[in-house]
Amino acid sequence: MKNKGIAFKLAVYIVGITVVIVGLIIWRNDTISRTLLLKNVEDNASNLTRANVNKIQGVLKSVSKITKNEAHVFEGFQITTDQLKRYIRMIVQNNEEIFGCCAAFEPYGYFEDSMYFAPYYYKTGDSIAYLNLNNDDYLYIYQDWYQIPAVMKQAVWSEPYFDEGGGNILMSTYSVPFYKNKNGKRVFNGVVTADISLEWLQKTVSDIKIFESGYAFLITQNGTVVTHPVESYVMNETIFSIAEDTDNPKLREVGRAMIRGEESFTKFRSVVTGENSYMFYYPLEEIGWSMALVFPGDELFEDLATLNRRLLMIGIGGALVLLILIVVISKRITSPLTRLASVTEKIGKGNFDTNLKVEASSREIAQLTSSIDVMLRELKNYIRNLKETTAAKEKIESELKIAHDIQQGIIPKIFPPFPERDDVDLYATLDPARDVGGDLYDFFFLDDYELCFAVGDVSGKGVPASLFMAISRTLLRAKATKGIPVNEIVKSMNLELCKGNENSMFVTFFIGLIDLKTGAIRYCNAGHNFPFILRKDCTLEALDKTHGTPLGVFEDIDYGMDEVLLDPKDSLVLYTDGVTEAMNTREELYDDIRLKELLLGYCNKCPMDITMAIVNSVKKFTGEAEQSDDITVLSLTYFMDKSIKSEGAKTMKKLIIKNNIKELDNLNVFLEKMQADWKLPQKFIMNINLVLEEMISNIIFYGYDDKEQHQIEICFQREENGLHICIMDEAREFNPMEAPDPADLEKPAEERVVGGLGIHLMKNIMDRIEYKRENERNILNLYKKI
Amino acid sequence: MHLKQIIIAMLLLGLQGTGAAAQELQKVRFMPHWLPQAQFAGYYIAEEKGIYEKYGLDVEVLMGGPNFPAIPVLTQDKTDLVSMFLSGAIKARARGIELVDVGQLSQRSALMFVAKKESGITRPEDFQNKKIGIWRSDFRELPLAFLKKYGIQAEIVPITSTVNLFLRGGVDIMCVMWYNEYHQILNFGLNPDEINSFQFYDYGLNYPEDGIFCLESFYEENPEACRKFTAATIEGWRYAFEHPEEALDVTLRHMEEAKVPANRAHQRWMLNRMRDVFILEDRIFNGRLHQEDYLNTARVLLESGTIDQTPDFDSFNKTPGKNEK
Repeated sequence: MKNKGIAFKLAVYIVGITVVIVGLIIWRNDTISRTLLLKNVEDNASNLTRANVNKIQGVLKSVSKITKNEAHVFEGFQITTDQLKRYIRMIVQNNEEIFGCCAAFEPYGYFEDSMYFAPYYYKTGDSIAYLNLNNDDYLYIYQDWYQIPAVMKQAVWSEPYFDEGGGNILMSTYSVPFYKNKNGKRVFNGVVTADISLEWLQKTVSDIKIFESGYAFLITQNGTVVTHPVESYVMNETIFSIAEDTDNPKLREVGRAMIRGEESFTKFRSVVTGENSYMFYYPLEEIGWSMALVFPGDELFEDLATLNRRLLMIGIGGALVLLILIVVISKRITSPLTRLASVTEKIGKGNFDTNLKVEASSREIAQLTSSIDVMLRELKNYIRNLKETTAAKEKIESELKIAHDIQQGIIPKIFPPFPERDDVDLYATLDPARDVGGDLYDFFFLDDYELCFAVGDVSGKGVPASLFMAISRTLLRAKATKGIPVNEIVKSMNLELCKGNENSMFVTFFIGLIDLKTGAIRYCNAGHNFPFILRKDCTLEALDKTHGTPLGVFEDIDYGMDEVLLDPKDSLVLYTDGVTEAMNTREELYDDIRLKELLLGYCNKCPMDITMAIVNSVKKFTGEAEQSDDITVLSLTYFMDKSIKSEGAKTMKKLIIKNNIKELDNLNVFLEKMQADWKLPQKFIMNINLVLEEMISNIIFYGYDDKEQHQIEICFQREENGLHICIMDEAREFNPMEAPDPADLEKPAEERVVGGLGIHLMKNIMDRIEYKRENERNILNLYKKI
Repeated sequence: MHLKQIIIAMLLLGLQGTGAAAQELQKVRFMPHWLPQAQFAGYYIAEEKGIYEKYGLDVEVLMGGPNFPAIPVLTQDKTDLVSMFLSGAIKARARGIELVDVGQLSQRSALMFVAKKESGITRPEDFQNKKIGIWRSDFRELPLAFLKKYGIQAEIVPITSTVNLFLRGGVDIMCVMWYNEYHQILNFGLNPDEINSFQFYDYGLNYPEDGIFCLESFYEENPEACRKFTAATIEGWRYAFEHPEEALDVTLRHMEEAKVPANRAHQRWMLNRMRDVFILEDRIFNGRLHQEDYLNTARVLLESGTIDQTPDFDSFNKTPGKNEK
């Protein structure tokens, strides 16, 4: 639904809701119609039943009236037997509805010498027949029509029965008791009866029709079925036996209500069709019977069902028309939208010259089109501006890059810086926060045994800071000369920096001068972080003395100084606040405590390890957080210079280089210095240089199977009449003595055996060459006389 | 055994079987004591399912009814066997008609008194001075004996056939048959919980009813046929109780043929009650007449003056099974 079109959504919602509404209307219409229809049917059924019941009761009442009159006559008047018989005959003759009539007397109630007397006249064909019912087999006094009124002393209608004497017709008898005076007492003397044929009644009831298959039926006060469309029920079954046989308890309840003389309109399961039906029943009070009208429900609601089907068809048709209309209209609305969408997509891809002519089908679309038009124009302007800005920014960035290179070039970066010295080792790093930083470090020898080192942090960052830093560093180099106390160096630097410092920039500065003969450091701290001394016994000391404000703040200020002594293997660690104030994403500071803990784990480690450990620890701590300040660390470890104690020691020098071809520059510098120190001939050193460059580049280029970093150690021993050189490396085994001497020097360089020229040179220049393999290392000893 | 011998044996067996089947079926006439209804379903089904033939009898079931009273039909040799109530048979024998009981199917009385609950009659003592409807039948001594047992003085209203007088309130109490009129009352709209009933059997007055009887002369000549007839009839009843709907179909057909109004629900009730009075938990359904039942019934007849002496049990009782002395 989320990604469907407007047309689809409109169609689903509107048509869906319409269908629900139409459904509700049909349902409500159905329930109301049903109720009305049922009420209507109930009224009809009630009227029909009452009318028929009244008709039947009219007949029954007239019969009962006649019979009652007859009883009065017999009771009130003394009449002869002839008169009695004639009177009975007359009643049968004069009353169409009366089939037979009888005056039945109690035993010896009429003739004193005759037990039974019951003169009976009845219709047979067109004539009237006479019968005295004083039959010994029949014994009328025990028949229901006689016995019940006799015992109960009241007029009763008998249950219907088949007359055995006459034409085997179904009849019911109305019996009225009559009395005589005997010794002043009113005693029961017999009953007067009138028989009625039930044929007319059966016909009346079975003629009642309602709908197609509706019917009426009649039951007696015993529940006996008198008329029913099912022929076999008549006089064989009662409503209760049918209920029992069809296992229909509801029918039994209905039957009981009927014989109680109740009237009702009720729903029930038809015993004929087995379908849901409706029934109205109404009592015939005169005789105690009940008449019922039954009609099947589906027939009753047939018209309603047809109506509902038609409504449903109209509903479905309407929904379809609605669906088509919605689709058409919404297509018309959305087609400019679709075009707008494709145009904006083109704009999005950068095609700003797209034609935005969209035929607006509505005010809203026109609005949208003009808005997009405005947006397009603004976008064009914006992008033009952006291009200009970007170009300007790129220019600045490239200049910044150059500035960064220059700044980094200022700082000494060759480590180890003094490979020939075994009295001091030093390592430093500067990691600027932006392209160019405001931190600085520097170190240089003032003479053979006095090393100057400094760390500073310029206020602010970026290009201004880096320029200020460059000035500071240049001033340091200019002012720090042999013999000037450290505080004076700082003072003169401060003086210079204050001049023309219109931007009020300043630099915190720590400078130290170490005497490598004694390990004594004189230092001056101009507002910089306190450095730490990491003693070889793994204790930590902070140089917590400050000797003045940072440089560039106050012009005429004197700086103090202090002195501290380093024992051999003690280290000094300098750093800027980029370390201690580094912040992680939770805005916690790295601070002194972490730094101290870290340092304590690094006593007796080399300066490079200490420095890198600090930098890595800070990086790990800050994690994803942006680096906010330059990070600068300088570590220095002091070793006792052996050459001071033994002159022999002075005749040995050592250089360690990495397997990088650029390291050969270090070798050159080293050899120049060695020539000066040991006063060796220029030509001699040139030859040595030539051989070593060849041999070491061979090792670097061809000696290693991997790309890892490896060390190559080169030792020089000054001997009385010459020089002993030893090269030790971890490269694959290679004995230059066994390498074939390339006699083909005339060949072009490209075709010669790899490294062959170097080996040839070595063999020619050197006086003695020895090779051995020890502890996975190649050891090559070279001797050259001066 | 050799093949030849086997064939001969088989042939002999086959001949024997053919000989038995070819035997003549003995013709026997039987008349039930009323119009066709489920009270006689066992006879109809035994005839229908060929059970009598299986027993070697060719039984003709005659039409009974009010026009064919059992004793005259029997003495006029219009039938060989009849069904009737034990009390009627004892009465006849006491009056010199030499009837014998060859199969006592009913083992308990189906007679009962009913009263409408609204009358407040809940125990026999409440019958005092009430109007009680009792049939004008030849077994009216039995309900009268019930009343006598409880010392009831009441107005007895003789009834011919219907229960209408009771339904209309003309009598307070009526004596009815459990398998017949009681159900008619239910089928005229009275619910069982609206009726208080008093089964004779429950009040220690057990008078077995339906039994199979014949003249002693017939029995002497055809004891085996009588025995077979009783056995076959009992098998018929058992079949009817096991297949009630089939038995009802057969019964209703007989009723239709006799043009008697038929009502399946009523006939089903009747069949079920016949099973209740034929098959008692503590008795085998084999048609035996128990001496104590005989003596009880005879005593009632004697005491009411209907008979003047009790006929000898052993010469009356020709039913299967043995009576302990």
